[in-house]
Amino acid sequence: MSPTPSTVIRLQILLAAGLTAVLTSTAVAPAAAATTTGTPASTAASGTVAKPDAHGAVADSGAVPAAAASTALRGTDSTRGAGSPGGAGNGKAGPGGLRSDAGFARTPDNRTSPGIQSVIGTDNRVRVNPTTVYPSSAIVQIVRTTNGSTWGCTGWLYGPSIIATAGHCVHPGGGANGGGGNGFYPRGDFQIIPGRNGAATPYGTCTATQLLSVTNWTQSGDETNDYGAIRLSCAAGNTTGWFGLWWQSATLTGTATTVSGYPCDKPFGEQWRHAGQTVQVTHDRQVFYQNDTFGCQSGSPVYQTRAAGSAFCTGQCVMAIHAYGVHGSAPHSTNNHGTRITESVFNNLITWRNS
Amino acid sequence: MNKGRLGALALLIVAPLLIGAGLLVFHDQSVSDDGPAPPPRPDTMGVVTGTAATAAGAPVRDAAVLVRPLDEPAPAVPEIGVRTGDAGRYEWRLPPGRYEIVVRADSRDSAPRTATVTAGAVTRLDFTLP
Repeated sequence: MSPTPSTVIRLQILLAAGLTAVLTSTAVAPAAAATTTGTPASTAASGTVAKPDAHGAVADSGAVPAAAASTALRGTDSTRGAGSPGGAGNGKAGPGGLRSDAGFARTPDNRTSPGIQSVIGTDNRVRVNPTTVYPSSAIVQIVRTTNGSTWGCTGWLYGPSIIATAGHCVHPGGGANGGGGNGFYPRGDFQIIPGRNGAATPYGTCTATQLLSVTNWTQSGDETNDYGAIRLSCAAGNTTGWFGLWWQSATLTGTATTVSGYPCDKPFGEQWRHAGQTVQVTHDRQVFYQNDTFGCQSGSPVYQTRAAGSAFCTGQCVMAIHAYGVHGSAPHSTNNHGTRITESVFNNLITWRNS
Repeated sequence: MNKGRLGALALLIVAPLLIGAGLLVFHDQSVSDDGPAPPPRPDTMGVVTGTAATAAGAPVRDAAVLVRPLDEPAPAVPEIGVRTGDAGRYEWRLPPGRYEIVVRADSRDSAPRTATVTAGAVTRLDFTLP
C-alpha cells in the first residue's frame, strides 16, 4: 500500500513533533557547564557520553548553582587529605580497604531493641578516637534544633567549605515543607561540627549558609535521589582535609566499604566506624552494604582507601552517601544502603562546591 | 511504499517521540526560594511528638528517641536521628504505619510505647524515664 499525500504530511508532522519533544526536553536541562578540573566524560574509562543532569539541583536560597551539563566530568576529582591542596586524598589511610565477606549475606538483627535495624548481626562498629586523624577529621556531625527538638545527621567534607549529606538531612522531601527557604529546613537551625569527639570540637562549630538538594528528592521524595549538601560558614576543610569521590559505570559489588559517622545510640558526639565490609549489591542509583549504622548516621560517607594509581580517585574516596537502614524487600531488607555517586550526583556535588 | 519502508518510517517517527517523552518525564526543573514557593501538597508523612520527663516531671533533655517499625515489610525510615531538646520535647516525621518508640538517656530506657502514624496527622506521645 502506498501512503496518500495526506498520510505523508501527517507522518511529517509527527516526525517534527517527535524531534521538537527531544529538543525541548534537552533545552530545559541545566545548561551552564561547571568550571572544574575534570576530564570530559567522553574520555572516561566508562565510555559513557556526557549527559545533562537529570535531577534538578535546588537550594534553600535563590542562588541555585548552575548545574554541570555538556562538559560533565568523569569520576576524577581533585581531592586532598590533610593539608595539601590539589593532591589526591593523601591523608593517613584509615582502616578502609579491607576486603572480606564478599557475597556473605548476613541476616538482619531480630530487632529486639528499637532502632537497631541497621546494625546487621553483631554490632561491629568501633569508636573513632581521636578524630583529628584524616579522614575522621573530615567527617562532621550535623545537629539541627527546631522548635525545641533536635535532629542528628552526619556529613563529610569534600571541599574547604562544603559537606555532602543525605537529602533528608536538609529537606523533608516529597514536597513537604521543612519550614525554611523553598521548603528546606531552616538553615539557621543547623550546626555542623567537623571531627567532633564527644564534648570536644577540635575544629570548632560551623553554621550553614546554603542548603542544597535536587527536586527528585525535595519534590518527588525518591529514595534513590536522597542526597544534598550544606555550604558552610567556615573553611574547616583547609584544616581537616576532605574526601575524594568518584563515580563509575561498572558495578561496585565486591569492593571495600567503610562507613563512619555519629550514631545516636552512642553518647552524642562520638564518631563510630565500621570498616572491612564490601558492597553486596549495586543498583543504578543505590549501593547496598553490611556496614553497621544507626539513626543519625544518615549522610555518612561510604568510602574506601584507594591505592596510588587507582582509576578515577586515590586516597580516601567516597562511592555513596549513607541514607537508610534495612526496610522493605531485598536487597533493602538485608542491607544498609546509600545513594550511589553516579555521574549526575557527582556533577551536582562538584558544581555546588565550585560555585 | 512497501511494508518494510513503512515500518522503518514508523520507527523513525516513534523513536524520537518516545525519547522526548522519556526525557520530559524524568527531567526536573531547578527551583529556588526566589521563585514561587512549591504548591502545598498533602503530607505523605505523619508526625509523632511529645516530651520525655522524669517521674518527678523534670524534662529529660538530650535523650535519644528510638523508633522501630512494627509493620512488615518495614517502611523506609531515613537514618536521621531525633533527640529531645532542652524542654524534653521531640518530634519524629515518619511514614504511615505502626512503630514502637523508646526514649533512652544515660542507659535508662523508658517503657516502649506504640504509635500509629497517619499521613498528615500528629500523634502525641509522652514518655517517663525511671
